[in-house]
Amino acid sequence: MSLFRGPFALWDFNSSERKLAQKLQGNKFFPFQVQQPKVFVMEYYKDVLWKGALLFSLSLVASVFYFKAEKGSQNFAGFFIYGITIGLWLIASNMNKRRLIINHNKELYQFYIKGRLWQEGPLYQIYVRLVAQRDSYGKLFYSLIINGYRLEMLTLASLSSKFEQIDVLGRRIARHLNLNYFDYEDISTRHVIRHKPPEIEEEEEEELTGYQNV
Amino acid sequence: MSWKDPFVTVTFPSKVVLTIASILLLIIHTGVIIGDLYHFLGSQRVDLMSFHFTITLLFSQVASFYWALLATIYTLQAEDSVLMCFALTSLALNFAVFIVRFVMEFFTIAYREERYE
Repeated sequence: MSLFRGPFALWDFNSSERKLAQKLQGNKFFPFQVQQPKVFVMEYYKDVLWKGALLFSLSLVASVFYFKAEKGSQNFAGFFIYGITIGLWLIASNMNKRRLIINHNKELYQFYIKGRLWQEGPLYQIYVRLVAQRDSYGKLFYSLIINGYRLEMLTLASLSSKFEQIDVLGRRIARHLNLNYFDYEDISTRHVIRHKPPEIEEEEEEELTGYQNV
Repeated sequence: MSWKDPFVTVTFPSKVVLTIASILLLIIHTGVIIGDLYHFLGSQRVDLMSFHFTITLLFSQVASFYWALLATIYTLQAEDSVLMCFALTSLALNFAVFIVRFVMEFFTIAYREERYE
């Protein structure tokens, strides 16, 4: 049983594709929970929270030692003040619980921070996606994310070199959650579009292309 | 919808957070420089100048300039003229403050405390 459960499910250090496959066997809607049929809910805390807390406590401990130590000609207290301030800011800006709801009955997603509605939008604005990063030898590493308009990026599996396995997992997650799935390339035949944006009217389209030409 | 809602997360939109950080640091550095100039030219109390914080100030100014530069590069890609103006202002002011500090350090180098260790 993993140490990171409930709202801390995405804090796992070992976020490989094998771990994700195990989690998907336990809950096929991972990282979401099924609240009602066709309504998926996820509550989480951002992982920047523990980084901020770590920075804050390290700066605090180091500053205590610094003020007891003998002083040279230079005063380094500014670094600790910066560290404490940035740590506090990271904690304060990420301490509230986030809740993401995908509602297929109403065909929209809702994003709450501390119980306040932050963003509500149609389902074609939220997606599961592979992201590729290239290392200095030209090898690609793939991450699996859930993201959307005015949402915070959720990383399900990070920096795996096995494309087939992570691709299969991404497609499975997108199928279970019934969301759009995008490949790591912008233009690709492997995209799976389940929710289309409404067609643009002809006049508007002309306006848009005209605007782009200017 | 209450007026408090946008302040639940104590943060700025990710597009301007680097510019805001560089401008906050810029205000601190300008304050330090004004204090230095006052003690150097006005009150003549050079022992109150920021000689003990030179290394911290150098790191801080370099970080501030770097953030302003990053923000400028990002906003140049985004093609938003207001954000670009904001970021370029921050970059230019940071550069100006850095030059002022550089020149002032040369003018005041004779007033630094001497240490023989």
